[in-house]
Amino acid sequence: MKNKKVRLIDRINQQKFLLLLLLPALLWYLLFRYIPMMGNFLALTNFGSSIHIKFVGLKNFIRLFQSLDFYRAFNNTLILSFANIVFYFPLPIILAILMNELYHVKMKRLVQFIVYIPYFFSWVVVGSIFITMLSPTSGIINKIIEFFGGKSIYFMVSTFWFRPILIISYIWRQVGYGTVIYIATISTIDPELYDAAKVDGANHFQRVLHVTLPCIKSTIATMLLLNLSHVLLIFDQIIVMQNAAVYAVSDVLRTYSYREGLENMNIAYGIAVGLLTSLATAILVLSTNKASKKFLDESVF
Amino acid sequence: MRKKIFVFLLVAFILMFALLIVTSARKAKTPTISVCVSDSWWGSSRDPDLQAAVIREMEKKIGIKIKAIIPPNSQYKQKVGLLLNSGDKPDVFRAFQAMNFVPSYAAQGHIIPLDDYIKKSPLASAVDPKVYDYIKIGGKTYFIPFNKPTTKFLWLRKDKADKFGVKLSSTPTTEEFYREMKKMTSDKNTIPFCFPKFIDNFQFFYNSFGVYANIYPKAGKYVDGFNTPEAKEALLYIKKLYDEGIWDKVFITNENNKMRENLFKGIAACDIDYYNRYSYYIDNSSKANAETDFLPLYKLVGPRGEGGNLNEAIQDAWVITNTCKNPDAAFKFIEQETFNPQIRQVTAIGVKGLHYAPDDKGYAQPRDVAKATGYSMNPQFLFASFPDFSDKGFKWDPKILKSLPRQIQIAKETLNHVGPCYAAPAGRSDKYDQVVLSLKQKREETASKIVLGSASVEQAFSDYANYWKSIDGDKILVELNR
Amino acid sequence: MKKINNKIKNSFGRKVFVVFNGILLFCICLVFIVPLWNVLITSVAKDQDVLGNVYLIVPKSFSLKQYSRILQSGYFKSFVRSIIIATIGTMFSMTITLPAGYTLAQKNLVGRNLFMNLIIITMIFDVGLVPFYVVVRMYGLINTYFALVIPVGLSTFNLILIKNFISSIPDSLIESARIDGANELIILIKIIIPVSIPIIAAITLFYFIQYWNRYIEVVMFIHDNTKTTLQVLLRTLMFESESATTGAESVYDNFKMAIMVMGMLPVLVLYPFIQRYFISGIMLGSIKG
Repeated sequence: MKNKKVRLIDRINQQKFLLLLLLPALLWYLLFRYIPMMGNFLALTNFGSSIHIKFVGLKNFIRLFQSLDFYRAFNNTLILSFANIVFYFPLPIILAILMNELYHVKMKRLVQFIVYIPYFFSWVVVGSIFITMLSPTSGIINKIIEFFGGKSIYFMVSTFWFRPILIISYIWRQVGYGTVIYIATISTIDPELYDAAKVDGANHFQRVLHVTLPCIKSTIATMLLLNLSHVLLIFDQIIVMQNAAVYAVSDVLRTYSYREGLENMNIAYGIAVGLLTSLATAILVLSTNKASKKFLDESVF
Repeated sequence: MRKKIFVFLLVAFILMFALLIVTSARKAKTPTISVCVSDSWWGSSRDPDLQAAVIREMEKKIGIKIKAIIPPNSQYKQKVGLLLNSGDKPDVFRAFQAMNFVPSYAAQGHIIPLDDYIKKSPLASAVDPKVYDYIKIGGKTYFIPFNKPTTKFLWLRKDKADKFGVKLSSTPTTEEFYREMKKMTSDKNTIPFCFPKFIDNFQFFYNSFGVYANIYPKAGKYVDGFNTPEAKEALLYIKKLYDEGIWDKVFITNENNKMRENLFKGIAACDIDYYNRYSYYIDNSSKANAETDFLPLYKLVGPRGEGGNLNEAIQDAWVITNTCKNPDAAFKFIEQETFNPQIRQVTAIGVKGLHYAPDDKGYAQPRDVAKATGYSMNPQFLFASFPDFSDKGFKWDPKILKSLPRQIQIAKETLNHVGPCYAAPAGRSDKYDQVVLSLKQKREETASKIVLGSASVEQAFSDYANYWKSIDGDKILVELNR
Repeated sequence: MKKINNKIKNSFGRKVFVVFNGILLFCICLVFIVPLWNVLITSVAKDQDVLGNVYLIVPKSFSLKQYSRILQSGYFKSFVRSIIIATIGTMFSMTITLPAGYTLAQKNLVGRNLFMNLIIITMIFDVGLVPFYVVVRMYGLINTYFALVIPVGLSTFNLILIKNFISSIPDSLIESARIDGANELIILIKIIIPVSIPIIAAITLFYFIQYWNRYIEVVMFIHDNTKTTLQVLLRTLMFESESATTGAESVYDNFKMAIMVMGMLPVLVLYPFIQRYFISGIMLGSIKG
């Protein structure tokens, strides 16, 4: 026992420079993440709805489980997150590989640049670009539909179309972001690996399959996990694009908690909603990490 | 040598200490209060330097130091919510949507009653006491209204009406409105009736059907005015306007600005706006080369002869927080800003020489710097304010003054058609206080779903009824009526 | 014989693929360019061409009036302020993130699992705005420029990306340096950074964009209008919804679009410089083996 302790101290001593490099980050996490996280205990009070703060036990959680809006938000969050992972997640990988196949370096850079531009815009801007583009009276999409003899559609208020619009606009803004990460990873793959595959008689497609993909495997796992960790927290995009007519299909946990919290001054209740969101995220992230460990032999953390 | 340095340091230290005492003593003389109002207010320009100039001017004239908190308009509600709950409470702030929020803030204990201060102040007590009656919580007044009570109604472009042969009196019936406006749908380039995304404005149409879409005292007893057959009738009427192309198709994404622009540019023929917008429309339509007259439609008379304008009563109000260390100074600030013409003029139209300057004819014109940040020189704010601005220290452009007599007439006339308005009954039922704002959102959601066709009337109202059940609505009414 | 045939087939298929790929990427680019093109040409159109229900694809007029209006309006100051905040912020973030990522990538690090779990927990448990504000206020940062940098200075997302990238670097590279007696900082600077240029470039850009586009924290942490960033002022100009007492000069689409363009200009200018490094990694790959 004692021996082990000594060894630990020895090891710490040995790695003290290494640990020193980590110290600022740890300090930051303590100051700006862990200390504010204590605020989550406020979910057990009536904070926000009165200046006389008192302990109310699980009242906020009970109210939450009785609330229809909470179930609706939960449902919408799951649907949108699932669609997000299915439709958005593979795209940057495919796009990065396709771009990598372009011969001209200049072309490659240009395409990469163009795809990346929307990421420079904040969601408010992207939202307003989509609203103009999809306008039933002047938007280019409806002009095209009318040109082919169709009837114009008011996408922004359609309960059928609104979710696809959310996913498409998400892809439009974010795909460049993911692509950049994959391209950065692909660009560090050792060219010798490709040459070796060539010698083995692999054609181009096989080389992508057997060299490129395995090399970016760990990045894919990381990106999947990072995506999952914030997919339930989707917020900015929805708050700028939704309107009262499509609350039923677009109100998610984060927007619900924001509305109830700061706007309607039930801050403790908003925090309770946030905590349940965290719980769902925890399940999602931890199970994915397990799966990733098992199938890809790749643990992200 | 070292001693000399020591003495020098000592002297310097004492001097600094003395200076500190002097400055802090001076500080004690002029009280400081922190004021939170959104960025659209401080002199009507969003330029930080111009706002700073307005603050300096106010400090000089009131004799109070002002620590300004200036969040953007669109995040104002959230920022106030944050400040109130984080220990950084401002001394004074402006409550938006006062009919709902002042009762809420009071019930939560964030703001203090002002009855004593109003009684003591000759300026504040000179106002028609009815103004304070709009919002009473437990018999007490917690606010000073920002402006005179305000109403909204429909504005119709005369040129469009003439072009399509639309004949409407200033108080047409709902049927007439539908029939006449329908004529304009033949023209694809005109939006007959433009509407903003704020569903609260539906109340104008509800009035015609005798609906008050909120929990309100009907014959002394609190009822839910929204889940009624009349409300369904009203929503079907709106839906008819929408489906037949009279109502703006894209209203749900329209900012107020967009709607106004559509009207004065002649893209839309009619919209809904404040009673004091006449000169604004006249002025801007002539700037946009689409000059015409604007006809007010004060109310639509419904099938049972009911109707009234959209009465917002107190839209914005000054309140003082419970943590305010110097309520006397805070009240002085509010009083002076609201009732002293010299100060209201600064906050409404800015500082002479910075926001506006006389042109070669001696008429005041907005300066380019101010114009680029959303400033325009318009008498409508002064018009809506309490004090009398006989001595302004500058001359209006006569073009603006031309429309003033008609504006005054309209302002008088709208008082004959005032619709209902009730403050939220906060502080009587905890259950109600918790859901008051969510309930409002639910109503708006239900209404917009019906009008935009994403749910049938039955479907939407059954959703609403389910929601009502989930918040224990009937019990809320019982508690309110206790 | 068979082999040759195969080769021809292969190269034919390859040609088809190249053409197809080119067309596909062109179409994708079109989807991205059309809305952006609309923003750009609307921003330089004259007032009368943007009124009513129009969606400009073909430019009708050219005028830089809207841009000069923005520059005149005193927004230039906040523009400079934003650039300074974003630059300093990015530097601050990188100096924390990079060493932390390097340390966490060491497989034999003491308490590595503990540290990683502590970090993951922060990703899962969201911090509410009110508690966050209270804490930032406690440190005395409210209404100072520090509030726009320090409390939001680290992104777990970026930290994990860097950490995972560094762990994919062969250990032999680091070990040999350690044996040579180099200290950790030297290893980081001399060995890790040159090999990780592509990911560092990407993360730097991400941080910069995050700082540049930050909105809600700026609104909540800054009280004083003379300290806010460009994004806040631009967004106000773009999406003001009025109350009864204000009556702002009306904002046309061309002005809005000019604001959008102004709002992304610095990133647009910065990007090509950074992009160069995404591809330079190819040459460094050979060192790794």
